[in-house]
Amino acid sequence: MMKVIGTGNPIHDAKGKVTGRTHYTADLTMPNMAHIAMIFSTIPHGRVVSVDASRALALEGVYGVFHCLNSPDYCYNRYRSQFSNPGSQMLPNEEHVFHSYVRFVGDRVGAVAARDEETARRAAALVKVEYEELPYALNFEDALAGKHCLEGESPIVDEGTITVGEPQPDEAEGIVVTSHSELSRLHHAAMETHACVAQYDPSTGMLTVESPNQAVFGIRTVLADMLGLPYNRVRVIKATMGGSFGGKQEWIVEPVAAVLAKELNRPVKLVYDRMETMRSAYCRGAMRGDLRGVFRKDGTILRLDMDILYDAGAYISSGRDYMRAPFGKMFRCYRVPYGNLHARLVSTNTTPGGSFRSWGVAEYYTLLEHLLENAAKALNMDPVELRLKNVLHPGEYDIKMNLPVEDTRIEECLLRGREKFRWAERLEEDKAFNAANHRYKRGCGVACGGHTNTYYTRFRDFAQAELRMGDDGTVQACASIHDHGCGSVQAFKMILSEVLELPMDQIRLEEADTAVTPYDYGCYSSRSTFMVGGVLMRCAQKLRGELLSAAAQMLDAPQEELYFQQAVIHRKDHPEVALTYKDVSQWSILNLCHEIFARETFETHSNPITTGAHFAHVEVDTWTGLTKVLDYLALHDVGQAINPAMCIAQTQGAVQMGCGAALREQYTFSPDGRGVASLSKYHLMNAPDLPEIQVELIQDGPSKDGPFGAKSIGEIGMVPVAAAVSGAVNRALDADLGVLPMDPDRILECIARREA
Amino acid sequence: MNTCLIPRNLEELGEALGQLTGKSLILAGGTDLVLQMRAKHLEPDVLLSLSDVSALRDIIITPERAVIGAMATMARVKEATDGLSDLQALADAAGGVGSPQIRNKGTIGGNVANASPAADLPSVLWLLNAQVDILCPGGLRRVLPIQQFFQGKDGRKTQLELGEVIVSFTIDRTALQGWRSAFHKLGHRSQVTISRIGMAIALRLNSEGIIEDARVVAGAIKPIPFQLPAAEDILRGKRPEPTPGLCIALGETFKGNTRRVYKENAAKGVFEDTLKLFAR
Repeated sequence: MMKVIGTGNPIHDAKGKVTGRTHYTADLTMPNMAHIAMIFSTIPHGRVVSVDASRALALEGVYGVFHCLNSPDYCYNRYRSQFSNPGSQMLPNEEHVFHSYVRFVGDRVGAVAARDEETARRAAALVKVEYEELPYALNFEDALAGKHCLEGESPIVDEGTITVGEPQPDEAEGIVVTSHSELSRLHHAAMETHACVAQYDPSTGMLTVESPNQAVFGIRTVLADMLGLPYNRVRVIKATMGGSFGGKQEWIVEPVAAVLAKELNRPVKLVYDRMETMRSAYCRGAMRGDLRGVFRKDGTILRLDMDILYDAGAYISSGRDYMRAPFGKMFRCYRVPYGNLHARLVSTNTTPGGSFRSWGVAEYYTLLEHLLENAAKALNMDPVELRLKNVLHPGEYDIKMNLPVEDTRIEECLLRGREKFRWAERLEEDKAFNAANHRYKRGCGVACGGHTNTYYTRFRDFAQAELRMGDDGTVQACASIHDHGCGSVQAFKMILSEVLELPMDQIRLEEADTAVTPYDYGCYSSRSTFMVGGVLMRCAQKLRGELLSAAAQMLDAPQEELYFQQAVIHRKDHPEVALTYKDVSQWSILNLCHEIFARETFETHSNPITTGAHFAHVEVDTWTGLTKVLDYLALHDVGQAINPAMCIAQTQGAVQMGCGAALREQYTFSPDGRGVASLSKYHLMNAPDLPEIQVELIQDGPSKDGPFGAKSIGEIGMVPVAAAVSGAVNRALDADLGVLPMDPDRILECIARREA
Repeated sequence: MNTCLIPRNLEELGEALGQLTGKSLILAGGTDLVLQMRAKHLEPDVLLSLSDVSALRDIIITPERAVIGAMATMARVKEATDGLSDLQALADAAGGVGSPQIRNKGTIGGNVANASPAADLPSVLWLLNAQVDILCPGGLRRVLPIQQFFQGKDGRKTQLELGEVIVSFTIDRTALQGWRSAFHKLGHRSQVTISRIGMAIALRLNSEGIIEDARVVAGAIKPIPFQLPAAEDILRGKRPEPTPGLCIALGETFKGNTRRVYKENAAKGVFEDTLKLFAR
């Protein structure tokens, strides 16, 4: 019986955050620190002809103006998270720290360092940059037409196909269904914007960088390679993070800060404001999909063909992977016996597309679920029934990875959700409501999704941890943790507390720091809890063994005679024996000449499917086009929730985000290439427009290797949302809208088209 | 910035206004100005803060008139007018501006003087025929009807001249006897949103509940609010019940007033939602 795992606990720094004591990167100050403000391209495509910084340099308090024409040319790839090796990542250094050839409004041209942020920003505004302008492309049509292509460049930057499985013998008798969907760019909208503090000590040759990020070792590799420094002379520290959603997984501010710290020989701080983060960092790229499915009359999927067009924006960065990787997840929820992907990549003169929560999987499932909605109509089948027909069962395989799906509970998610959401009754109620209502129309939607827990099988995935017990019996843990603000540290403390039977305040766990914590890939593929949590659990078990071994020596008793109870070691048949961890720890130091210590490496050979089923009920105002989400239920097959309160909160956040993607959020560009740069014009879904989002965690299908059977929750929560909500809107309107977001303008256009 | 002036009363304010130049800025609640100063790196020679002139914050409501100080925050305007049926539109509009934080800082005078086409208070003040009391450099005063106030010249959005500030808005409640008013806005979401359509309606009903007279003012459509006489004609003689037929007919009056197809189509919904408020 577990005491800690499965109980609800606030995140580790909740108190500090609500009392304002927690320091984010933007709060850090250092003696002699310079503040950086960026000079960004004001044109979408062209070459910098000249830079006149004289007026900026004349301002009091300006330390220097660095730009593409006066600074060393450093190149890197923002997407790099591992060393360059055919076995891991081979990526071109496509980006410069400062660009003389600019590819979008917001591209980095230079930077000003000054004594304070205000001076730096004022000076940056005084720098005059002259450009030679080139034709540009802001959308798929212009890009495919090659409007922006220089001589020798092709509009299609990359093209790929993937085939999985085998054609089914009865495909010819199947029913063919198609769908077309278009998904908009999205802004991550983390509360904390991008920020970095860097300092360089020329006497030691040590560069220290602190930023909220998802991979300290990735940044270290990029910065060290770029500056020609040994890896042990670049220290990257993961700072407290105010949200990432994938937005702090590619390197935007760190290279600039590192270069300027080195050039200036003083600490520097660079903080993007909201406009800069929206326009100059990166966003979720736009995607289009034409899908074709072949179904048996009973709804069984026989074949899936996906034709994808993805816009990587100004820099390819993750684009080649981002358009392919999600295809694998198509085999992690439904039984798709035969699937083909054809994906094409274009580059436009817009804010780069990049990592975004779920890494394309939400996009792909939005496309797939749209196809399933059309299939349900074509086959005259209930949408839940159609999905039940196709979801994977325990004992089956993910045929892309060739791995067992393990004890999946996606069928239970659907069955339980159908009952709890009163699916059949609601459909009837909606019918009656819609018949009686001329303005408001209601509809229900259902969608599923599947995701991963680790890099495996793409890479051999492993994680490392160390635990040392102090001579007072408290524990210090050392692992490379990247908490996004979603509670990883707390979850890991709970894991250690459970195994070691120690109260959580006796455990100290800091986040990733390349000078202190062991090598780790960072937070990708929803791998934190499964991999880092997994190794911490195993390491704690090992530490227990160390304690037991020392205690046995101390008591001169066989280990089998000893047992733990609430951080005290007892001896069977000798009730008077009660050794505290402190007793054993001190005895070990004095008599064995070593501290109680454990080091563990965990390599996984499994990656069970992690799934969820979502149900949405919406009301569309056909007069104003506004859609209200009336009710929402998300069910997730989490194996074991480490901290259920945070699992639920994280899923609620994912639903909020996905509702925005379905109904409101889109990242638009003016005809001259300026991207939306304010949250007053980028309409996030806020709490007043959402119901209390219900989350149910199904916890009887444990993973084989995750800590206590846990499966991932961070990204999967986002996967079915836009599909469920847009499906509900389509059912309410009896329409086949495929362009997201289904914002008021699009909904009224759709209605007007139909009436015309 | 060279000088920050913080007068403590109207007399000092009058003197301070005399020191302003074309490069000076006047700070009310700051919810727009501070953002602009940051974004545009504005460097005023003088920043005049209205924060300490307590007379500007007064809200005095008697049966005859309502006098609302320019520095009254949205939150206080809402509190002071909520439940007064002739002034209800003011409460609706002030209560729907931005977020609670913005309503606690943003002022009615700032909302009007900033004269954003999407601002909500101008349409309501227009609806209620507010008079704008203006303080001039040296302490002189002048009064303008709100409709005239928004007839700016030489590229300016309002009639405010250099060194002039709004002291208060006065609404003659005797002229509003028997009138009820309401305001509703349509944005991209229900709260913390900027108006795509702002609808201010005032109705006078007879004892049978029939609309004897109506005033309709729309905001966020044109640079300044405008009256919709065609909608008023439709409303007269009807009951304020938002039947589909009535709302569709009212929505049609937007035709020709906006180039945005969306707004033209959505108008009927805004009319219905505003008329529904009269059932309160």
